[in-house]
Amino acid sequence: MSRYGVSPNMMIMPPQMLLYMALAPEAKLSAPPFLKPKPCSHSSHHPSTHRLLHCRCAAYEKGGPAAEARFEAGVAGFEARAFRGCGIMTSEPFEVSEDQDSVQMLTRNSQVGEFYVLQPPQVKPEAGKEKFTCDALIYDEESDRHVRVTWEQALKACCIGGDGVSDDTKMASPTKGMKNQGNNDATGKPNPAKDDLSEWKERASAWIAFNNGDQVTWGDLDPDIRIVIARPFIEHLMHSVVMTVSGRDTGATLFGPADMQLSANTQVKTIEGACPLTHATLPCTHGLPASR
Amino acid sequence: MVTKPQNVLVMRDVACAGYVAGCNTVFFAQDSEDTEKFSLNEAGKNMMERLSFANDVGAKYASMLAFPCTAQQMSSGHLDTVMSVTTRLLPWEVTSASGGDHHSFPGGQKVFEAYQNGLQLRSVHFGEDMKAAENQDFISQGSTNNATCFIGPHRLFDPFTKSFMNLVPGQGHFGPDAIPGDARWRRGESVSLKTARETMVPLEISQHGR
Repeated sequence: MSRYGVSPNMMIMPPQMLLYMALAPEAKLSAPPFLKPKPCSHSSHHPSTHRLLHCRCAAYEKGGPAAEARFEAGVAGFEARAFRGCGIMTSEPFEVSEDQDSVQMLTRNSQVGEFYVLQPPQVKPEAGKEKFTCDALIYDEESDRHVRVTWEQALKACCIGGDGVSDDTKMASPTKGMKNQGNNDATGKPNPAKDDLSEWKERASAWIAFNNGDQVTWGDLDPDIRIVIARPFIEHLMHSVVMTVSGRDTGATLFGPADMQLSANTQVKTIEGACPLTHATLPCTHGLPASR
Repeated sequence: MVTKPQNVLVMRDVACAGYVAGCNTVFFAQDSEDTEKFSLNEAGKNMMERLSFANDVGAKYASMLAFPCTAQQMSSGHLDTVMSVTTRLLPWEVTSASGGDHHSFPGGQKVFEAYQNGLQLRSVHFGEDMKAAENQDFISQGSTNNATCFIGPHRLFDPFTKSFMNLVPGQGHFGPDAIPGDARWRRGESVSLKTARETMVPLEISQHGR
């Protein structure tokens, strides 16, 4: 907005965000909730209000009287005051019908995507400690914890060969080992270079045996094999906020007299309605008259 | 009605209000009955079920796809921070009027074509409001499915660290790390990221995560 020399003075936000904006950021109260309750010097505190009062005490201790005032004022206080020079307005959801969710114009579904790269160990692990060395820990939001995704699972999920993707598909950037297949072997005969998925799969499968502690020669393993795991459809409900300049400078639509008339047409069994409405969009910069 | 659009800025998607789907660790290719069984047909079917919410919104859907790749492709610059998993190309991959190649797709263009046929990746964008997407409109008719993936936070084996795991920091929308506790602020609870993490994990890990 600064590019156009505009200084906003109003923010429109969903009401669900107000509680967060008023109280959740640390700076609002400066009372970290992980602070252990200290022995209370206020002997008059009743146990039921003890926790709340402690929070207030901590707020006061860290943020002074302003923090306590903000805590007391809560959402109403946040709405009443300007936030960094912008007045706060809420966009209330409206009901559509009894069996449908209400519609909040500033809340929508939004998807993002992430990918993760599994790689085998680049340095030989100590003997007996080969297990899990190709795996990755990935955050699972549904269970709110890290989950181990194994190399074997990921390789199976690539679905190469069989009824999956054709294993003679050529790869764009084969590993050095795959390219060196083209070098001469011990007898001087040239090995054919193999840059297809069957070769890749064979080399990736060798790491499963290594992970299982089977007898595998370290030098025969290809350290350049990778598996990419993609999570492309991470979907959340997301709030948006409108920042604007209030008043007629941005535009205003004025509504005049309106009328609604209904009539029944018995011949075609329909009910007809007519709604004349007078409205005008201001400022009327194009010389257009008020529409009707 | 807005007559001076430069006076209005819609700050899109600034706060999480709830988790919907797509962030668990189940592969699309995984059979729901026999979790050791994987197939491409199952992957295509499960992906379409997830995108259309065929089994109701609250049902359990898979989230992940896996592709073959090499270190050479990672270091070539084509697949370092971002990739596209569908028919849509990244801006720098559009090299001609007729399109371009999926250099960023793990394995390259030919591997992309193989997976596109198997997974029906084209159909991910069926039914979208193309006009709204092209104009980057805030309001569109129906939902838009994502195609672009940024590298996300994950932990790999590292023999030189005390925990034998090392964080590969994310470069995507949700920041460099994701640790237990994050589900609270991501589902829209009135709690800060710092507080949510510190109630779940030791302070040192939380500090490391920030």
